[in-house]
Order: sequence, then structure tokens, then C-alpha cells
Amino acid sequence: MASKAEAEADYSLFEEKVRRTVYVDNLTPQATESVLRTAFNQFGSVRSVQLIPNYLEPKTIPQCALVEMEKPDQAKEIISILAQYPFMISGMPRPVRARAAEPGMFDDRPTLPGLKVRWRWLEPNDPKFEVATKLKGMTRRHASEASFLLKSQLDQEEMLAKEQAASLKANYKKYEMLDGLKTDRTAHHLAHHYNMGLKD
Amino acid sequence: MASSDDDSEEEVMEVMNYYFEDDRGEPFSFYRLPLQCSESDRVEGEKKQVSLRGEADNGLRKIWCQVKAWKFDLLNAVPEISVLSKDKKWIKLGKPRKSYEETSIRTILITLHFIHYVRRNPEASPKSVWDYLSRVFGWYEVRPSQDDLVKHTALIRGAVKRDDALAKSKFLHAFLEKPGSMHDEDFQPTHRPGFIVNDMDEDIADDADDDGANEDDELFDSVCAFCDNGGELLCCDGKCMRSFHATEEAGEESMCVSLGFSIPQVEAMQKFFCKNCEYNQHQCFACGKLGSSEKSSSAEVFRCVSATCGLFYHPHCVAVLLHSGDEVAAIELQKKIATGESFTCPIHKCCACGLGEDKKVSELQFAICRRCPTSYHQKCLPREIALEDIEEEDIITRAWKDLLPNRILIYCLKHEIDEELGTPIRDHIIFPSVGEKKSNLKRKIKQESGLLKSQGKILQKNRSFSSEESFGGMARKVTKELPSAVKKGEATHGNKRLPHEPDSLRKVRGNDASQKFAKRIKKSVPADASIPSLGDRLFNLMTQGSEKVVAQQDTPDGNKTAAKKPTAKEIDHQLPPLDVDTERRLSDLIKKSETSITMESVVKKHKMPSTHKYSARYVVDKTITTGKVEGSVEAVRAALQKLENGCSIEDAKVVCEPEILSQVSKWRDKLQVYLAPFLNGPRYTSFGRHFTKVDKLEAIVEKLQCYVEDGDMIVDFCCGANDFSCLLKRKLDASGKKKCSYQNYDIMPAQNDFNFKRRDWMTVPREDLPQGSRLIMGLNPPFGVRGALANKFIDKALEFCPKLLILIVPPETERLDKKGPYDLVWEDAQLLSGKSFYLPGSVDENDKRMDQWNLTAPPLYLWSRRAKSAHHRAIALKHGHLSRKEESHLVDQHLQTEVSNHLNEDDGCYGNTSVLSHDIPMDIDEPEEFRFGIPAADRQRQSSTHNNCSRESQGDQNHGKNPSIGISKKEILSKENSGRQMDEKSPEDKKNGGRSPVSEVYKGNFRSEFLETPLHVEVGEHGYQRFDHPVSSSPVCSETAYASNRASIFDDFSRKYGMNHDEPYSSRTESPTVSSHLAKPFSGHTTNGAEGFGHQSHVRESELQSRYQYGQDATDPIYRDLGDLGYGQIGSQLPTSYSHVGPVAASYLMNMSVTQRYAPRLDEMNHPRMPTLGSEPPPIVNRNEMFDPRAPQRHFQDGSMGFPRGPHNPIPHPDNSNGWLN
Repeated sequence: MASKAEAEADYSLFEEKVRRTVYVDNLTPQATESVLRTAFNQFGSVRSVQLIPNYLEPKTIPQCALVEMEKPDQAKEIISILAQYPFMISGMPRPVRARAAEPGMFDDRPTLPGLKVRWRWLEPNDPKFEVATKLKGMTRRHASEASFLLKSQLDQEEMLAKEQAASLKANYKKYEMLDGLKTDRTAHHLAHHYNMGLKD
Repeated sequence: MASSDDDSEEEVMEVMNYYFEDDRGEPFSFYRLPLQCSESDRVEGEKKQVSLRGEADNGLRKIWCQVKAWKFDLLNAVPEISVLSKDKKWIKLGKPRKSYEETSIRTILITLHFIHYVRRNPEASPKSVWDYLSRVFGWYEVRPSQDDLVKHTALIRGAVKRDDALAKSKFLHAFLEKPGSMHDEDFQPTHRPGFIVNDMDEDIADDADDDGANEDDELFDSVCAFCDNGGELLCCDGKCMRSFHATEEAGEESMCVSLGFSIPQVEAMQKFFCKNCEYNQHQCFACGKLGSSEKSSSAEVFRCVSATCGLFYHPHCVAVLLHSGDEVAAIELQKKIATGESFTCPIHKCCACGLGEDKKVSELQFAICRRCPTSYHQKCLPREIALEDIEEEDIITRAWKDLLPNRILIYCLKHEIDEELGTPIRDHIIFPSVGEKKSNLKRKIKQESGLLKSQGKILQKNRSFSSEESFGGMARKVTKELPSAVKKGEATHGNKRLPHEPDSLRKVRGNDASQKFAKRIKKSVPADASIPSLGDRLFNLMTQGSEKVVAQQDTPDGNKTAAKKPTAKEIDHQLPPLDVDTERRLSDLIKKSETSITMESVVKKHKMPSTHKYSARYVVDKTITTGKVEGSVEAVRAALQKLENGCSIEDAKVVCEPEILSQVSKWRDKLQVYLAPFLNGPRYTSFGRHFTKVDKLEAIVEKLQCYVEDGDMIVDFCCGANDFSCLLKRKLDASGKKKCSYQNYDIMPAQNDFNFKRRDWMTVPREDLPQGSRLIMGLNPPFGVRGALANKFIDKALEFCPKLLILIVPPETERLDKKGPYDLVWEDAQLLSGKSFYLPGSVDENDKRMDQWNLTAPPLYLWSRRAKSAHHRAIALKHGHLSRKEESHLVDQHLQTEVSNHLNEDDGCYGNTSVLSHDIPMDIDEPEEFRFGIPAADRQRQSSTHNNCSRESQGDQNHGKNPSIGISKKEILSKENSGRQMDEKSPEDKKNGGRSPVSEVYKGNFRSEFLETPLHVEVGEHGYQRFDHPVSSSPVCSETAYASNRASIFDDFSRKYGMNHDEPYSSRTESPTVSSHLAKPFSGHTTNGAEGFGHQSHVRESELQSRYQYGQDATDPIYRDLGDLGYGQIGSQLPTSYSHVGPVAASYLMNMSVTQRYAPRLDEMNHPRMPTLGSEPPPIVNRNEMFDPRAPQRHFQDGSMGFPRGPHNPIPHPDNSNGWLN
């Protein structure tokens, strides 16, 4: 069967692509394709960048993307390097996370060869109807749990952001005070009086 | 015996990738061979047929020979091992084959490195030894341990017997006495790899950047405000600048009441404000009563303005104290203070003699009472306040050294020492709002913490020091209110106090914490294992939940859903609401996973490369507190104000010690580093790297390729995108040098993996690279603050003794000739100016790659190992001239560096007899290259003598001058110098009679120049900056400047060109003419204005320089003048005479008159440019008439030189020279 072989070849190509691809998460909403491309080009050559749109959540939450590299090794390298060093993109003071891509992440993935999907209606009196309802309920439940988790995560992040902003502000204030001494040359004059060198 | 000398090193064969095998082909550990300790002394070993197999000459030659003995050599930077072949040749062992190394010789390598290290560091602590070993052998699967050493105890014993240096090592002795039973803690680091690295990094970071965190504490109080003991303290962020023991545990030793926080609370704390600072209610240090310190509203207490003090007083209290006898004055002062005028409190004057403190003199250091405003000089301290108990006189300890920085902590005689505590009763601190209800507050705190704990149930479960301990702490707290017998028993003596060592303590704490976490993690593992896997549980949960959902759908439970709806439904109306149980389960899950991730484990995982500074945040947040900053800033301003109001410097110093000033600038630096991403805007992605642009790399490759020889290995230690070696390879392949190998390191994966190894350069072992004579290393390391990182990279590179180093480093990087036997071949400060770098991975608004430029362009340096520097310099001169680059500055740079190089060399060799032998070949080189127009033999002779002589004198100045940075010192130094110069030169003078007049002139001018300097001091500490002023404004100065110029002209001239001093223009009689020449250019300059200097293109300057350049050391300072281009490096090394004497004047004037005069010689190097010179403004030409006759010479010489002139256009910048005239 030619079509089957074709499908298999297709799929193995796709699998190859998956291996080359890094899934990056926690991106700032401002990250664009070219930002990502340049960012990851320093570790190899980027073949393609695919931002994964988020249809379900508010816009402000972090984005994720699939970055396809030239070689699988490069993808591995990126994952290890990003695990080791915090990697910021677009000046966002939040490290990007990376992990290996999985087939399920690609919306344009070819169907698994040999996989057949069949549909049929279930009547309420069908014994499988109950199973189906259960499954449906589970999915919904799962979704609501996920949204709960997400919410608590966002809350935490907001707290953290507030904390960081406060500490940043405090530190910046300190810096401004110290810098003030330098810019109005007070420190300089005093150093001069004390007859000591003040490095710039 | 192999030596480190390069020349002989080449003769000794070095075998790489080696292994040994016995007659049956089994791997054989070479240490089982007889060990040859010296010519006669041989330790017997196995007699077997053993052969060495490996590669030599970079893998070009296979080695297979029989060996019969081995030896090791500890004298070099790395231990060297050699084996004796059958034909009695010693073969040096390089890097072993990996498999062989791990299995057969690992232990002996470790042992040798061990001996080597302890030999070099006899005082080394066990920890540092193990750290070192784990660093060197970090890549072994099994870390080095004492078992490795025990195997070779005999060898170590033998080595100790033979080597006195080794015998000194205490650690080694300890080891030999009890091999195999060394204390456990000696091995801690080896068991905890993560922390070795961390500790080491911290050490390195501290070494490199010598303002470690603890320095911040040097100036400020670092004892607990409650118990006056050191230890682990929490610093209040507010105005009081006090520190406290935050936890019971921390203050245990001194029975400190402490703030009563729990460790997690402290860790979670962002900022700590003590209650006093929080409510702006501070105690008066004199009367102890609380008062409002809010400056904006009605303040009752005011803070002493001294930067480090942090004490508050009622105006009345402090006024009475300060003017104890004089009521009127006291009332006046009281009023002043009440209106907000600053004051310094009584503790800053000795209460016995009334004088101030001098921290530098131990007798004048203060002893300060912790309870009342009383201080004594150490010398004025009453006998009763003693450091030790004196039983018979009934004196108990009231004073402690080492607790306060440079001060003694005392309790003065007014306070009764509590026998049990060893201090006065600790009721001195009153926090506001609670006041007498202090204990209540504490209880509250306790309750809060208790609450917190119970909230984090799961957290507690996993804690290794579980709730028991903290509850125990609570219990103890209660009893502490009234000292109990139990407590007495437990208590350590209050007298025994911890000096405050923030750094070490912090480290210890880190370790402890890590242990705890380790334990905790371990604990949690079995716990997890006992319950079904997460997946199972999830499944259970889901099915349960779904059942419930179904159930709910059937019989809706009104209560539950109602309670839940608001939260869940807001997010998504379609989703089913979650019941309380599920939510709790989820939050439990979150908490559980949160506790499994700790800050420590994250930090551990993100192992920073050794080049990164550690945890700036800790320092910034916890050490640089707002209160301290505010206080210091205020103090600095107040001090200046005092001075301006005519107070004495001593008074000002009471308010603000000089150290505070440097502290302030250090803080500023630190904050700047910490805030850099915010200060610089959110413009970058990446790791803060910057790469050199490819076109610049091409230019570098173009230059470097001339120096590469076949078989060299080019190492880029921080390769970034890895373009450099690719470009170089292409270039070298094209020019036929095909046998070069390449090795590129970086900590990040490179875009291009050509010969790339991802490795931190600091951890590259010596064996990874071939011997130094084949190595060319370098390129663009990270700079770090003030070049600190660049220095580290270079230091590491020097371990490999490469023959050439090509570096893009900031000018303030330490020069290599200070570090080892290296000479600068050339330096190119222009190449990398402008947008030479880019930020990898960052794009700007237009999605273009972001370029970057440095405010001061980092120069490109080429350093050569001294043994080969003459050779490389010859290449430089040849190719530098031939360089296809038409920018004149390229050529200039060659020449310039050439010059400075000479100086440096002299610096190094000064006073050494090797000067002659060393210089002569170079001098010969130069004339050959340049043919100055004097008959060669003659000139060579001259140059060798004169050069040496005059260089000597320069070297001399160099010696004396380098340290002088402060302006005031310069004068003195210069005098000394001239005196010394004279003395030291006398032998030289004998050699060369013609020299002395010049040197005298030189000297005289020198001095007069310095006498002038105070006039222009205000410009700053850098001598060169002054020269704008002398030149443009003050005739006197230009006189002196000129004069010294002349001196330097002579000096340079004679030095560089080997001119005979008898020649007219170098003699003293010349001065009138010279001066007339010089006067005009000055005026020219003045009209031109300083702008002209700064901005009229470089090219012109360099043009001019290049003509004169050849002896013109002042060029560097000029560069600095011209817009701070950052050639500081060289300048600082040059004789200060030049950087002093007047870069501007020197350069320009000399360019004018002298270049012309010496044009015949100089233009040999610049022959293509001479036409422009000729066409230069008439005045100049006229002024130099007398030398014109010589000018034609250059033409015939052009030919004789045989330098192809083709690529050089005549100077393409006529505009510039015109501009110069205007």
C-alpha cells in the first residue's frame, strides 16, 4: 500500500522534526517570531518558529512556542543550557523554560499511520453512554482544575512581581541617592578635601 | 629534566594520548616502574617489559617505545611526569588517553597534583587542597578522595623526604601521620560537588574583585543590638542601622532574646525594619526614652549625622552632653538641633581627652560603650575596663576586641555587669507601641509564627528539623524571661564571643541549609514511595471527582456549590465548579511541589560559570540597607557642608570617614551592576554576552594570520558564535598553513560547532591543550567590572603558556607583562571602536540584530611570549606595514605599541644585566627594518648603547612613577625620581658621555613641570587631562610643557633612533630654535580649540603621531585626552613623565617640529605619506627648514627598503591637516 508507506514516511519525517524542536514556555507576551529566532540563533540555526496561540486564556499570560532547530543535538543543547542558566528574552526578567517538543504540540501533525478514528452516536440507553458521559465530565473537570491551578499560579506570580517591584524600587532609590552624590559632585569634592582618589 | 623554558621544551618529546602496556598488552600503570628521583637515586619498581604508546607532535607521530623508569617534576606550574625510554631519553607525558587515565593512573595523577599543590601552598587547609583536587579532576566520575592518596603513601613519604618545601606542609604531615584517618570534614567538599563549586566560585569572585560582601560590614556595627555579640545577624533596613539576632538559634551563644523569628520567616523576609524604624520611634541614646524621629513632622529625637553611627538623641540630652560645662552654649545647640541642624554625638570624641578617633592608629582607636554615649581612646581607657577578668582586683571583663570593626566594645563603669550574661542587663532596647508590653509583642510574634507553621502543615512534615525544634525554641523563649537553673547549666559563658564574620557564617549556614534540604529530600522520597504514584493518585482523584460531579448533577448540593461558585465561575462559566475537597487537594499538591523545590536546589541546579559573581542580591538587599545608604549620603553631604563652612578636616572626618566615601562608590557600583538590566532598559535577550562582529573578526584574522605557523593550535577561550576560528581556518587554508588545529570553548553552545567544546574556560585542564609553544590563544573574553573577568580569563590562559595571545579586553585589564614573560607586539585601539559588537539573540524594534559599542573601545592586543617576541615583532613590522588596511591608525598602532613595548620591557629588565643581551637583537631588528639613513653598522652600535642608556633612565622613571597617582605625591616623587635617576644613571653616563646634558635638562624640566601642576589640579587625578589647560591658557605652563617636551624629545629621540647626542638638535643649544618652533604650534592649537583635539578625526592625529610616533610615548596620553578613548592601559604603564609632561603639548608639538626634523628617518615607515607632510601648512615647513635638506633622503630609501608601497595611498585626509591649521 503506497499510501500507507507514504504516511509512514511522512510521520517519521515529522518525528524527526519533533526531535529537532524545542518547546519554550513562559515567554513574554511581547515575544515575536523574530525575537525568538534571533534569541535561539545563537545556539545554532533556527529553522522555524511557531508560536502556539492560546485561545482559551486572557492575553496577558505567558506564551509558548515551538522552535525548530537545524539538528536534534542543538535542540538538546538548548534544553540543557536553558535548564542550567536563566535565559531571558526581550528583557523580561523571567526565565524562559524549554523542554523537548512532543508530537501533540504540533497542530499540523500528520495522523499516526494506522490510526483510525471512528465516530458513532450513542443512545442514552446504550451501556457505553454512561462511560462517555463520565469521560466528558472528567474532561471538564480536568479543565476546571487546570484553570484553578493556573489562577493560583497567576496569583503567586503577581505577588512575586509586586515583591520584586518593591525591592527594585527600593534598590533604585538607593542607587539614585548614591548616584546623586556622584552627579552633583559632592563625593568628588569631599574626596578632594580628604585628599583621596576616588575612582570613577 | 624538563624545564619550563620554551626553547628546551621543544626538544623534549611530549607524548599525548598515551598509555602504557606490558608485554602481554595489558594496560600498565607507569607508577609501578622504578621511580627515578635523581641521577643516582632510584626507587625500585617492577621489572617488566613495559612500552609507552601514544602520539607526539600533535598526533602526527605515533610513539611506541619501551620504557624503564619514570620521574615527576613538581617545580613547574603543573606537575610533569616523564618516563625514561630504553635509549635513555626522557619523554614527557602530556595528556593520557582517557580510558587509561581513568582506570590505571588516576590515583597517581591525583597524588602528584596533591603533592604539587601542598608543596606550593604549604599552609593550605585541607579544604582548599580538596577543592583544588576536585577542580582539577572534577571530570572523573569518582571524585578524588583520600583513598587515592593512601595508595601512594610511600611515594608521598619519599617525596617529602627529598623535598624540603614539602616537609613544610602541615596537612601533608597530618596525612602521613594518620593516612586514611583524616577527619571527615576534610572530605566534605568532595562529597558535595555542588558546594565545592559554589565555594570556590565565591572565593574566586572575592579574589578577583576584592570588595567582598564582608567589607560592607567593616564600617558598620556588626553586633546584635540586644546582646552585643556577633554571629548571624539580620540588619535593619532603617535609619538605626542596627543588627539583630533574628532567631533564637542565632543568638543562642549569648543567650540573646533575639527577634524571635523562625528561620523560614527570616528567609522569606524581603526587608526587615525594626519596630523603631518601622514606626519612626527611636530611643534617645542618652536618656533611653522613646521619641518620634519623623523628620517631616515634629521630631523629638534626632540622629547623629556621622555616617556609621545611627544613634538618636533628644536635642536637650545631646546638647548637655556636648557642652557639659557651658549652659548657654548647650541651650543654643539644643535649639539648633531642634531646628534640624546636624550634629555629631559625644561618642565620636574620647571622653577622657576630648579628641577624635583615628582608626588607623591602634592607640587612637575607640572603645565604645554599648549602653551610653561614652567612648575612650584605646590609650585613654581606664584600667577598670579590662579585656579580661582580674580576680584579685574584682575587675570583670568589660571590653571585647574584634567585635566591632577597628574598635573595642565596652560597657563603661556606669553599667553593672550581670554575672550570668557577662553583659549588663539587656533591658536597653525599647520597641515602640509595645514599650513595657515587650513580652506580649514577642508572644504575638510567636503566635504568628506558630500560625504560619500550622498553615504549612505539609511543609513541616518534610522538614528535617521539624516542629519539635521550633516549639522547643518557643518553650525556651518562655523560660528565658526569668533565668532558670537549666538555662544556667546550658549556657556558655557570655564572655566567649563570636567575632562577626558574615561571610564565613553565611557560608556555613548555606551548607547547613543544604544538608537540611538534602535530608529533607531524602525523607520525602520514601514518603512518596509509600503512597501510590502521582499518576495513580490523579486517576483516583479524577474518578472520584467525576463520580462526585455526577453525583452533584443528580443531587445538587446547594451549600457546596454555592460556596465554590464565585471563584471558579469567574474564570470560566462553562467549567464545572470545584468542590472544597478538590480545591484543598489541589492546593496541597501545589504546596507539596513547592516544598520540593527550594531556593537552594534551584541555585544548585543553575550552576553559574566560574566567571559569574555570586548572589549579588544578598549583598544588595541585605547588606546595603536603605538606612545605611541614607545615612552615608547624608553624612557625605553634611561633611562637605562642614568643610565649606570652614570646619577642619578632622571634624568632617568625624561626620564621614574617608572610607565611607569609597564605600559609597562601591555601593554605587554594586547597585549599578545589580540594576543594570533596568538601568539599561529591556533591550537584551541572552546572557549578557556580546560578540564581535564578523567584519571585525575578519580584520583581526587578517592581522593574526601572519603570526600563525604550521602546526599551531588556535584556542578561542570564549568563542561566542564561533566565527573566529572558522574565519581563521579559511584564511589559513587559503594561505597554505593547513596543519593548524583549533579549539573553541564557551559556556554556551555556539551557533557553529566547528571544533567547539562546551566548557567553562576556567575548568579546562592543562592536559587538554598542547604545549604552549604551539598555542595561540585569546579573543574576546567577558570583561567584568573593571576588567576583572578578563583578568581571570587571561590568568587561566597564561597557565598554558601560549606563545601568542590575541585579546580584545578593556584597557584597564592588567597587562600581561606584569603577569608573566610576555611582550606586547601591538595594540590596536581603533579596530574595535564604533559598533564592533553585537548582542547575540537580541533584536531592536525593527527586528534587526542589535549592535553594541563600548563607550571606550576595547583595544585589540597581541601579546607574545618573551622568548619569541622579537620574532613576532619583526613579523609585525613587516606585515603591519604591508597590511592592506589603509587606515593609517593601523600602522600607527603597530608603531605605538612597538614603542610602549620597549618601555615595558625595560621596565621588566631594568637593572638586569640581561638588558643588553635582550635589547640588542631587537635593536638590530629595528634598524634592519628601518634603515635610518645612518650607515648601518654605525647606527647599530649607537643604538645599542644609547638605547640602553636612555631606556634605562626611562625604565627608571617608570619604576618610580607608576605608583604616583595622587597629585600631591607627584611632585615629591618626581623629585625623588630625578634624584634617583641621576644616581642610577651615572654608570650609564660613563658609558656615554653625550648623554648627561640631556638627562639634566630632562630632570630640570621635569621638576618645573611638576611645580606647575597644582595650578591645574582641579581637572582630576589623571595627569593627562591637565594638559588642555597648560596648552591653551597658561603661557607659563606651555613653557614648561614645552620644556619637558623637549626633554622627552631628546630622550625619545636618542632612545629610539640611537641618535648621537652630539648632533646639534639634541644638544642644549638647540633649545631656542625648538622653542620658537613650539610656540607657534601652540597658538595654532589654541585657536583650534580643544574641540579640535578631541574631534578632528583620529586619522589626523594618528597620522601625525605615526610620524613621530617612533619615540613618542606621549601618544597614549593624547589618546586619552582625545575623548577618553580608553587607552589607559598603556598610558598607565608609560613613564609618568610622559603622561605628565604633557601629552597634548608633547604630541602635537613634537609632531610638528620633531616629526619634521626626523622625518627623514621616520618617513621610512610612512613613506607613502610624506607627500602630505610636504604639503602641510607652510608655517610648519618653514619652521623646520633646517631639517628639510634631509628630507629627500627618504625617497631613495623607499626603494632600498623594498617595501612594496602599492597598497598605501598617500594620506587620504588632506582635510584634516587643513583643519588642523585653522
